[in-house]
Amino acid sequence: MSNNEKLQNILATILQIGPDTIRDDLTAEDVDTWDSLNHIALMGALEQEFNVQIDIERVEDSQSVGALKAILTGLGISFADDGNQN
Amino acid sequence: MTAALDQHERLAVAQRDLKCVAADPSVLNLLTAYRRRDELAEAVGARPVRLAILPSMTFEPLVPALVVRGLHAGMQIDSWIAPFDQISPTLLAADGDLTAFKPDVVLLALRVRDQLPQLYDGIPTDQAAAVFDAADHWLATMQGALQSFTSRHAVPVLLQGLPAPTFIADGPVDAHRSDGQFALCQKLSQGLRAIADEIPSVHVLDIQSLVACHGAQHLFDERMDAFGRLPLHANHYWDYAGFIVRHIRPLVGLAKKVIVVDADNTLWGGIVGDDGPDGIQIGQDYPGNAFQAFQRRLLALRDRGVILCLASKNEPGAVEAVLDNHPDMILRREHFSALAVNWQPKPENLRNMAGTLNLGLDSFVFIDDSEIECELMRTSLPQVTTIQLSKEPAAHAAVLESLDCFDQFALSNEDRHRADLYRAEAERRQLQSQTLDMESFYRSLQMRLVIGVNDEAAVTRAAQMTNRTNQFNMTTVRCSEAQVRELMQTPDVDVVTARLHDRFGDNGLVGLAVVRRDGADAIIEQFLFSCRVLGRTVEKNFLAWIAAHAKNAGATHLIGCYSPTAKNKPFGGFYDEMGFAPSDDSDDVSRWRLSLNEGGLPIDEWTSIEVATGE
Repeated sequence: MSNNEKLQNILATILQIGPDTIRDDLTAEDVDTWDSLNHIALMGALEQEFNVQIDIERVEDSQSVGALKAILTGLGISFADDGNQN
Repeated sequence: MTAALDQHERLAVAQRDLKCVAADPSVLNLLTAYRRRDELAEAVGARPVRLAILPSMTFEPLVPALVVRGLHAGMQIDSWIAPFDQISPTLLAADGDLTAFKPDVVLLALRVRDQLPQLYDGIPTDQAAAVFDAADHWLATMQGALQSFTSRHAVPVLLQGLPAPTFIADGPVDAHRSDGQFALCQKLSQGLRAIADEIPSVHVLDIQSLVACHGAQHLFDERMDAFGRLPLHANHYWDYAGFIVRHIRPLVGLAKKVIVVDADNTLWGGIVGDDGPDGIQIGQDYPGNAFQAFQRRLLALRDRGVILCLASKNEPGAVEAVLDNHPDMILRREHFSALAVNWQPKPENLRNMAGTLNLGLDSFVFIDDSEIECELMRTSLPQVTTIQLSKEPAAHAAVLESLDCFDQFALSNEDRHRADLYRAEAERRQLQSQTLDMESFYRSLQMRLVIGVNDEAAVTRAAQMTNRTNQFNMTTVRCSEAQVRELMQTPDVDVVTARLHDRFGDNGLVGLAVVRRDGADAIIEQFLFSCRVLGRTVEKNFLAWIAAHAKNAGATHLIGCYSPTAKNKPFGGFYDEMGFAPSDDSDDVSRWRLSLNEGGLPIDEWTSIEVATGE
């Protein structure tokens, strides 16, 4: 599974949305299920699945798929392998 | 009938899925299982439990873990979460949402970080009096609200205690302060316990035991606490859920009642039938001390009302001799409410025990070191909690320590003596044997018997078998390696060995026979089989192959010999059972005769037989 697929799977499972709707510009505002409680679950799942630790200050400003990717990229996770989805 | 089988299968699948989640309880796995909760609950026949949660921490992200952990313990948790930090108002509202929810159990997920932050941040001496007053007020409010609620509802309430502070502002000085953080923590803990003493339906959960087990640094997560008031790390949602579920279990009648243990390599090291009562490992030194520790834990469980039973494939006399006479045993015969020492399948023995003790099989825990026995139990009686011990005896006691399914909130005098009561009851009744369809189990094992004839590579193990095997050893002739080799090289004598493979792997050399050709007769001078693999019909197939082999070589009769010893009595009837006719007795050896003219012996279709080395 590529890192992009991994991230899609995490978002799709937690937010219960279709993988095809997950694009970099998707924000928490756009998704009803992306509330603060699911955001906690999301952070837990990202840390577990990518084996990283996300800083508290990054948790709050990680409210879009692109922002999540940026945080993970900063932690050494690459999303370069499968093209630009924008 | 088909519906029942389907249910059986669905249960096995659901249990396997839940086991997978338990092995890796990640947020994603928990959520995936949580979304299947209704289907899983139906498959495992989970008991519905309505759990009202009154939190002063964010609880919603913990619900998947709690529900899945509940399913694991046989309960279907339907949860309702009160508004954050509204514990007293929620308890006090006579016609509020809590009453409308009709809970079976109420959990107060307490946290005082917001009410009494000084407990965690430090208590300046000039504020100490005010802080302790605030603590008194907090406790009094809690007690008043609980008294109000419990006077209206006969519902048990679980009070999640407060974790001790990990940051101590005054450092070592705090320990000497009567108004420090440690003193405040003690005061709050004692206050909560006093409330529980006052109100019988209130129970305090010692959260500090969970912290002790996992460590505050791992269990807590300041980031999520700061971000969302959820102090737990996602890696420990499962452990926290387990802590809650273990306390709900006894309140809804799901506590287990019976432990059935195996004997060889479980209560002691070694095989008593082969090693003898003096040869088993039990005593002061490793590994004997590890088995003693395991027995001590069992005895402690018995002292709190858990019923101990023994299920062992053995000659009863051998096991009883150890229980009655071995000086290093902790457990004695009188500690067991039922003994099933026989050669019947263990699921059959557990069914009998359940009947005799008049307890449901779903209140049984079965502990054995054998993968085969555990697999048989899981497939035959999935409602029994089956635990397979590792090969490391020193780890066995910890397995019992981690069992939380026997917890009770109160232990009566009767609980303390329940095991004795059941033993008396069991003695009054006769164990009834029940038949069990074993065929599908045998099939599932995919057994493959590999036969060797005069196989030089088998000499060492063959000689070892003649010296070690005491039970299923028809003539008990001990041989050295040289003697085995000599027999292999003797014309008209075949040393036949059997190696057993099954879906779990290679069981090694398990059967040995020495067959001497004398005219038209093929005489089985020695026939040995490892007790580890008895009860799987392999020994019968081994004998059937020998019969077919003798017939192919031109023999008309197969002769079996049996010399009784103190150890091999259980197998005295083997040739009789296999259809041999009594021939003659001399020199303490009985001979049994089978005509090979009428097709020989049947080989069970679930065992395949192949020959590794021909002549």
